[in-house]
Amino acid sequence: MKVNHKTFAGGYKFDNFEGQPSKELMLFKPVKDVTGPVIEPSGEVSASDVLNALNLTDFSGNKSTLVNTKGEIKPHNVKDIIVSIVEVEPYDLPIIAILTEATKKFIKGLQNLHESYGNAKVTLILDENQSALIQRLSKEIEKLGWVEICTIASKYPANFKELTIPAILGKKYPVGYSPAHLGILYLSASDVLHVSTVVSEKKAAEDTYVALSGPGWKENRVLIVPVGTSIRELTNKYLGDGEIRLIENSLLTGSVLTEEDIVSYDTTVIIALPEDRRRQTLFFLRAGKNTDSFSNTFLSRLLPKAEKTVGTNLHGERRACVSCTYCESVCPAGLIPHLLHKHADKNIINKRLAEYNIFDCIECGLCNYVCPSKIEVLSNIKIAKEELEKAEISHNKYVIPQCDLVTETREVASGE
Amino acid sequence: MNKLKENRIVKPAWEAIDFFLKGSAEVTAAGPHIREAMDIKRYMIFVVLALLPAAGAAIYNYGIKAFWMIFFSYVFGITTEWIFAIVKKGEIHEGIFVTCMIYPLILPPTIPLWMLVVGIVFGVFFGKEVFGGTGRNIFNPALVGRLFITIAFPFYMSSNFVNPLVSRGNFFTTDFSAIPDAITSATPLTFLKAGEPMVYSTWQLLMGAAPGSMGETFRLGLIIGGIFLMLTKVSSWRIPASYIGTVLALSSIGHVLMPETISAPIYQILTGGLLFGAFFMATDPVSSTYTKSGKVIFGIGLGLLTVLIRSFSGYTEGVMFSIILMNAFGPLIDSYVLDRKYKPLLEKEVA
Repeated sequence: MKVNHKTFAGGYKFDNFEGQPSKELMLFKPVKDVTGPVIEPSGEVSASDVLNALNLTDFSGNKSTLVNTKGEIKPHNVKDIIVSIVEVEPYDLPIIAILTEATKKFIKGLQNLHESYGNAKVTLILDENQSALIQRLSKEIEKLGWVEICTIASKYPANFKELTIPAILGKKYPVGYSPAHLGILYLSASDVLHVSTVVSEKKAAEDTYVALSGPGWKENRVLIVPVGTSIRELTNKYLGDGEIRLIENSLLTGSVLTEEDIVSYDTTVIIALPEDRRRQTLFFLRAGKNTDSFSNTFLSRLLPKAEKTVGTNLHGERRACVSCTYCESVCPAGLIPHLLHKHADKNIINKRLAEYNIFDCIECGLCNYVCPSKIEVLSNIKIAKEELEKAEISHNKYVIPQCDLVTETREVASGE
Repeated sequence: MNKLKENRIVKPAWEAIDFFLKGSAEVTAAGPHIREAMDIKRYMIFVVLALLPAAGAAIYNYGIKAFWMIFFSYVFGITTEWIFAIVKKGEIHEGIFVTCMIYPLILPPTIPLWMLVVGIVFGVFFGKEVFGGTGRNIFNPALVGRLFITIAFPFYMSSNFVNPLVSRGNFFTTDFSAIPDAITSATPLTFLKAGEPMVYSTWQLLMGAAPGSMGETFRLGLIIGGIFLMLTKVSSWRIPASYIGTVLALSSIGHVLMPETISAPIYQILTGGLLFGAFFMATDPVSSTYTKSGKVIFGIGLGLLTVLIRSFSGYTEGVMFSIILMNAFGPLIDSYVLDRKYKPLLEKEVA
């Protein structure tokens, strides 16, 4: 089957971080009964109902303070469904482990989607390292006839909708908005499996897949966990000793979890990252066989298979920017992050920042990760964006006119 | 002990040594939870590592004097930085390690040590600290120091070179004038300037058999060090490539048109401080341009100025002046490139 391939400038490949989950799946039974909000089949349930319940058809952006639009997209306005199973984070949910058991179910889910959204083109995105998965899926998908497979370069942040939607559909993506606003549904493999559970199997979507990754866990496993399970149940059973930071889904963009939080439909990976306050003698002179770095100054660059150690240590002192341009080299949005940082740092918040395309920043955090001066580049850019909105140099003026937003809503929220 | 640590004079030095030896205990804020292992210390130390062949060759060629020059450069450079850290209540930053290594290597080996000290103190003070320290200086501090003593003491800086391998049998001699036939005013550049034939073979020029500034003559080591820096991503290939490329192109054409004035391309590259300047000083990320095309323009400007000064001015060497001049043009080049790349938004909205 014909596979389109896309690549992008910048980005970074994370090799083999320690604490990858084993590929076997295991059922997790919580001690306490779970009373989480679970999607249940009721009457003539369709794929669009499930996606509504998963908040995937919402116009309101998921993390943005910019967008206050309410409502949901009408099924006939959905022009594209994109299913991304790209694995480019330091830790991902191992899709191959899940789809080995559930290929049929996954295909069934795609069919359910097609029944609900007949107008939409369905595209499956994988990264080029997933050749085994591509082979397994392409046979099945070829039979369907209406699904396309697209591969994308295997480097972070190829899993970002802000990056893949422009790469695949050629559309400008307004950062901070939901894909539904552009007539696109952007789904993960788990989302498709939930659709299949509810629509085809007529069962409640009670469970979700969660990978316990990172060196802070006693065991690194992929668990099938009931949605609504308290994080405490998982940490009681699996968490190792010491001071550990729990992070949801991504080492670069994820938020910190506490034991009071619960497993939601959005939870795919829970990373246990040791708070690494150890001082390492003469760190800057070490060979670094197990050290991940953008630069080639460590031995690990010659040994890509070697397991990379990971922790929260800053690995250096904060310094002024020396314009090494590492941030520019990795920026997938083609920006010059250190230039934006210098403006924000000196509090020069003006139209020039908008002209430097600051609104195109997809907030992947790579500039922050590679900075040898340990500058908080990303948070400075975020602050600058907020200041610009306050100064009415808004993305509304510069970004939105270039985008084709869908505004027709399925339900007008009443009383608001 | 703790009281001593907080002492205003001791604090910067204590902190610098403490961080230097023990590394950081700080952890990431929210946002990216991990940081890569490269830091400015490693960044700067790699430049010093890449300069070790040149420094080793200097000591091999000129004996204990070369060692003392490097030693005094470090002692007085770091002291200047320390005094500034005390005055500003700031920190001692690791950029000083590179400055203090580059500076003695671009000096003639005959220079009196007090003169070297004057230069490094001036360079660190006026080249760096008054701008606000590493990251904010517009000129390369080592070059500012050399420029100062070149103008203040022209005789010492232009006609007092030493034939290499003078150290053979005289390793501990610091007064080269005591050795017969050691001092020479003729470097390969002066042969070329006078239009005389080159007495050194290409191999001799590469291996450092010709007189010149201490660290610039072992050119094979400079090339290896420069390539090492590019491969480790510490320096950018754009500036050296466009600099050396421009010198090659201009002198190839110029040598055909005016063989008397403009010397052959191979000698342009293998004499004077061109390779040292291209690999270790023009690439200084702080004082050079930061945009990609800006780096190419920067390199072309350097090549142009170097060939012009070498061929048409009263000076035999133009590398130092061209880098200082282009450093001054750096911000202008960057803002030109940015203006070309990022148009005012109104135009963009219409398009």
